[in-house]
Amino acid sequence: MRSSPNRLIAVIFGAVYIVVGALGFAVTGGVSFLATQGGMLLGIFMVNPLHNVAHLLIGAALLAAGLASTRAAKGVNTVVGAAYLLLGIVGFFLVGTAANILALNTFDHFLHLASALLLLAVGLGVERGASREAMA
Amino acid sequence: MLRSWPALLAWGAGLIHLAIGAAVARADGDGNAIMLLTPMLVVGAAEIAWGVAVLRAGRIRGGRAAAVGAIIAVLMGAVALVGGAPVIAVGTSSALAIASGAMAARMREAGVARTGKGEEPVRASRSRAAGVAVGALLVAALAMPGLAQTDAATNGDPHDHGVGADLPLVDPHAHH
Repeated sequence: MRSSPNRLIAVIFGAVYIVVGALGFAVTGGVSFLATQGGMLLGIFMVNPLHNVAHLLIGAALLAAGLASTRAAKGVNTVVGAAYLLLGIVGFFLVGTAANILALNTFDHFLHLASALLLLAVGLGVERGASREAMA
Repeated sequence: MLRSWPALLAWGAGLIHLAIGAAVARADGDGNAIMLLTPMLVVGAAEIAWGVAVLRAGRIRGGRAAAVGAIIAVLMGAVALVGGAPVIAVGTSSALAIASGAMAARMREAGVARTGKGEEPVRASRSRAAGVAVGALLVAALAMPGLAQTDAATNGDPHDHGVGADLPLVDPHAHH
């Protein structure tokens, strides 16, 4: 696993997102599931219960893929990275509106975009032969 | 090691251009603002799409066109600046776009771009992976301050007091 950048990144990010998702529930007591104003995680990241669940699911997907195979890690890194990039961009238009059902704030966008850059870059740009090898 | 950096730098520039252009959603039918901001959205989307294409292909695509595109992005940034876009955001996106275009053109000329075929030696693969990771972190660190100055970011800040909603392009705190 250590020889594959995709698997390494998937496992690290997966573990971090699972921890973040679990910690999120500690600050969202009394916050409704789709609230546009949630609790503050670490004092800067705004989360609501839906956001926490999303973190847990994404973390589990990354961790499972990273532990499974290079091909799986590459695929999940790319998909999650693309989703985060899309979320970060769409987030620019959602801020301050009722459609902000993930209770995203500025620091959330920054974290999502930084994650997107790394996951997508590693998923798309590293081990490009992994899929072909797995198919052969 | 630096082969993927033009794509990553283009992503950084593209994200900032999209964030600047996102103020169009709050332009409230202001024709001038829409005319200034919509091209920024197009440029931002093009930069991100080009970055994806380069990373997927494993080689520089359209190196000369990328350099020309970077110059166009800088000129459009200057126009947006006149319209009141945040200086740090425009400056950062311009620097990232120019760096991306210059690296792409240089690599294309130097023939560094790979064909994307055949097996990559393990050592080269590790070096490439390290380059991608370092580049992504560097671009994230460079782009975030620029993003933070945009209207899209300040509208999401509970301490913003809604200033950005009144002036689609201008963040009055950006220059202090």
